[in-house]
Amino acid sequence: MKGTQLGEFEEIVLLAVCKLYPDAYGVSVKNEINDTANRSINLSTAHGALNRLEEKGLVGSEFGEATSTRGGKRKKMFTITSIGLKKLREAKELRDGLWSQIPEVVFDLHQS
Amino acid sequence: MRLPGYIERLIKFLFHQEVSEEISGDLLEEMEDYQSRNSRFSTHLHLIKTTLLFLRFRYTWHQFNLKNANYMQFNTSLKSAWRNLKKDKSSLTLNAIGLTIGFILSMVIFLVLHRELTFDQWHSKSDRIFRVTHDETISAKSTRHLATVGPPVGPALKQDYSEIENFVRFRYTPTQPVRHDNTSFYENRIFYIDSTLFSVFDYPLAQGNEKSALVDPNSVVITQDIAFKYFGKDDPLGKRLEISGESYTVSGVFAPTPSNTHFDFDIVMPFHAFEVPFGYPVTLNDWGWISFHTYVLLKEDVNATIMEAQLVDFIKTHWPEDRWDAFRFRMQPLADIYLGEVKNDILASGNWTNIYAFGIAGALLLALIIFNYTNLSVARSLTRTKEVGVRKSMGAAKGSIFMQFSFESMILAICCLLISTLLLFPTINFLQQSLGITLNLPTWQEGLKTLLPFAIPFALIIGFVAGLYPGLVMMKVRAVQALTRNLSGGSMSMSVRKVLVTMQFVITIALLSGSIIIYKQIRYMQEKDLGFDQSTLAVLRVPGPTLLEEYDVLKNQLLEIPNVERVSVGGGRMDGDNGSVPVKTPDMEESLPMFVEAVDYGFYKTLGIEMAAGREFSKSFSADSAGAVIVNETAVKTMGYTTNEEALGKEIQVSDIRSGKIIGVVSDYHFTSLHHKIGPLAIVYPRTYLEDVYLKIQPGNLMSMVNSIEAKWQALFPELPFDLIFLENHLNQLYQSDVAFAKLFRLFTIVTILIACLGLYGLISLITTQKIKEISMRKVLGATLQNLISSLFKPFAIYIGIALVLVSPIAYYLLSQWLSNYAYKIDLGWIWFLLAGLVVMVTAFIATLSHLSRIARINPARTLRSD
Repeated sequence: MKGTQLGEFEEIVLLAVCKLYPDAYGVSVKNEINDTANRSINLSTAHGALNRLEEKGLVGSEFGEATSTRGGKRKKMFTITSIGLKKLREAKELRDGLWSQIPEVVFDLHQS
Repeated sequence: MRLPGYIERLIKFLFHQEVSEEISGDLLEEMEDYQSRNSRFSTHLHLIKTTLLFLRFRYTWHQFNLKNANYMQFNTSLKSAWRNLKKDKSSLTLNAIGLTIGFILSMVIFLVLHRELTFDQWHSKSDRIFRVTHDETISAKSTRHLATVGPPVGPALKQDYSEIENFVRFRYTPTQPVRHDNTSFYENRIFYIDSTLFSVFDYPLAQGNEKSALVDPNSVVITQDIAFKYFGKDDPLGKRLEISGESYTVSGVFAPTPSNTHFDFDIVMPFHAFEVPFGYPVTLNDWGWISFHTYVLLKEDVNATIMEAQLVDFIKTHWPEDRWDAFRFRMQPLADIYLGEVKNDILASGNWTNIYAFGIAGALLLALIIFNYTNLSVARSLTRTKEVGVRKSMGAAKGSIFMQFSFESMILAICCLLISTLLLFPTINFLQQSLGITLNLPTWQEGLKTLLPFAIPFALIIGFVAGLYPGLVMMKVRAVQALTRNLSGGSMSMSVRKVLVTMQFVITIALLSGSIIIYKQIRYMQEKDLGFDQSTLAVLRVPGPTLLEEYDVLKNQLLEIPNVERVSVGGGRMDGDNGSVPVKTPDMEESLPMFVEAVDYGFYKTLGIEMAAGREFSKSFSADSAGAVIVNETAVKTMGYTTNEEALGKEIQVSDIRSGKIIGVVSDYHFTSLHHKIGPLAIVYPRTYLEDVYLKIQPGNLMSMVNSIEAKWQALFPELPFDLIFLENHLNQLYQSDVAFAKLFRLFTIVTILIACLGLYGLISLITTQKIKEISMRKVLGATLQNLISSLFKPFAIYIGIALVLVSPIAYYLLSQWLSNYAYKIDLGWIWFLLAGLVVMVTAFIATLSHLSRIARINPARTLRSD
């Protein structure tokens, strides 16, 4: 199976989906990433990533209730799946593991 | 708030409903957010950009594809077509080879026909250019359609009618010696042409100025070929060129033009430099000197029919009253000249019969390909009933099964078209070299430009039509039957296949018998007795003035050579370059047109032609040179005398060339090509220049004879080019286009037979595979090899027989139509059709032999074991 490893962008999208729960959908994910990561991604980029993640089974989706704010159009709400959460955790553990093994001297190198 | 309408429509168009809701909802939110910070224009821009950017993701494509079921079906059809084509390689190869060869040849035919039908149309004003012709059908007996008119007609037309923008006159000259330094040749395409040539026709100059090129009477404009022939790589402008001893300056070089023109010239001299040739009793103001090709350019929006009607008044203005009703001028559109009825030996002319013959051959070839292809695919599709059964039980609609088969054959057709386009021009080159013919086809860029708009839809149609029948058969197959039983496609498909095979044989036999008859006719023309023995005659060309002065010296020198038996002078080369003039005797009510020829003393003795009565011109009768005429036997009959002797001594008036007594009647001989019947001929002693010295030669060492003639020539006339031809070779050239036609036709025949054999081969291989159990059983029960072969091949023999009976009357009719164009033709015997049938039968048998021999080696134990 392809994509066993999370890409950097995918990881951020997944984290955003988690953070925004239960209100993660295209626009909110896009805004979150643009605001916190200080990037400027297009709405379609967010959609692409979300759908790819859904295809991989890392997020699940369902349509929310129709409201009057979006011209009556329903939102497609994304929630993280257990596999998604596992992947995120793996990625974090990998990093934490590496971080903890960095010798102190490395930080001293660039003190100033 | 809403999204702009066009964005909504775009989303609806691009995306599946499921995603479009989500997308448009998100976009609306995005828009609200974006609007607050940006201008309206950039909001719109951003929306469009974002919408389009949604396209780049696989998921949207995926959804998009799901929406388009057609696309999906296309995709699977493509996949299964490819797999099926790959699976059965041998039958794919047979089909592809047949189709490709067929396509290549159809394209060759198309290009040949296209060239023939678009003659002269490359001139940008071709729709406004007309040739003025002379039409003399009005008087009771004298019928003449001439391509030429008198020299004053062109200028007078322009002066009298404001509708006529311009005119061009062409004057043909006989072959002349052309020399530059030590290079000298005879050139026969030298014309005097008005300088308006450049403004009426599209003959651009590659070098030189169009305005001044034909102004100086001593200037000539030449083609690039001539420039290279005489000056090599040097700049030809300003160089001297000697034509018939006179010196001219090259003032221009023509740029290359398309070859399909009825008027092909090599060297052009200004018309006003033209002088009346020696001995002609006319002037350039003579309205009756009908020898000038005259073209007029009408002003725009002038109706040619109305213009032509006005020419009656034109005649009344310029001719005396007694001639008013004698003839009419016609305006012949430029594009109609090549295939038109007014023929002229100086000009190239086409032939509707050959065009039809090629067209029919091409159509038959295509029909054959389709039949062959259909037949093979039907046979092959029978092995695919299981596949169709599975498809049907999975819910495939009838239409989609049908489409699948059509689609497959369309793909194959397009692939073959690609291959044949790649192979087309190498093939043309190969054909021209191996057959020794020139097709004069356009370069590949131009060729493809004319071809492809027709070829691509054409290939699709062929593919569709060929896939039509197998598609229909398979469409009707019932899923359950297909899966449970071994279907053979039912009796209907079998009978259609029989018809198709028979049709293939019909076409093959038709083309083969046609090819045989055409070959026989050409052979007949080349071998026919012309009344003289052309194989023992050689013709030496000597320019007229030189011959007049030096003839006796030359003759004595030539007679010293052992192989040269006799020498005389004739007025042509038996190739039809004779004029026709009115001839009258006191016994005739009105004058009749007759061909006229000028010959020297002892001409007929030299050629070995018998005098039927009287004698020929002789030096010992001094009156012969001024008052004697010889006629041929046909002329005697035309003049109304019953016997040759009766004509002797009668007064005769040969136009204003000669009047005197008939002193002899010569046996009919062919003084022109065999395309024409021997016409009435009046022979006079030369009055104008002659330039053809006839040598009667004895067989022997011809090489040394030619060498010694050339040596004598160099000693006598070092300045003049040496041009000796054997009459036999020269006369064979008259049939060059017939020979090229026959060769091309033969090639088509061979190819069609080949394709038919390919089809037959494929069919028999399928039948033997299908019938392998039956054959094995028969073998077990004691059938001999002979029994087996006859049971397999017999049906085909019957089809060939039926085809022969069907096709013979049609082919007989068409071929007799073709033969009716020839004045001298072979008898059309039924035997040739039988022969064609037999050849097809034997070829078919040989083509299937390898399969038949496989039967002999079948081991019944192995094939029958599985059941």
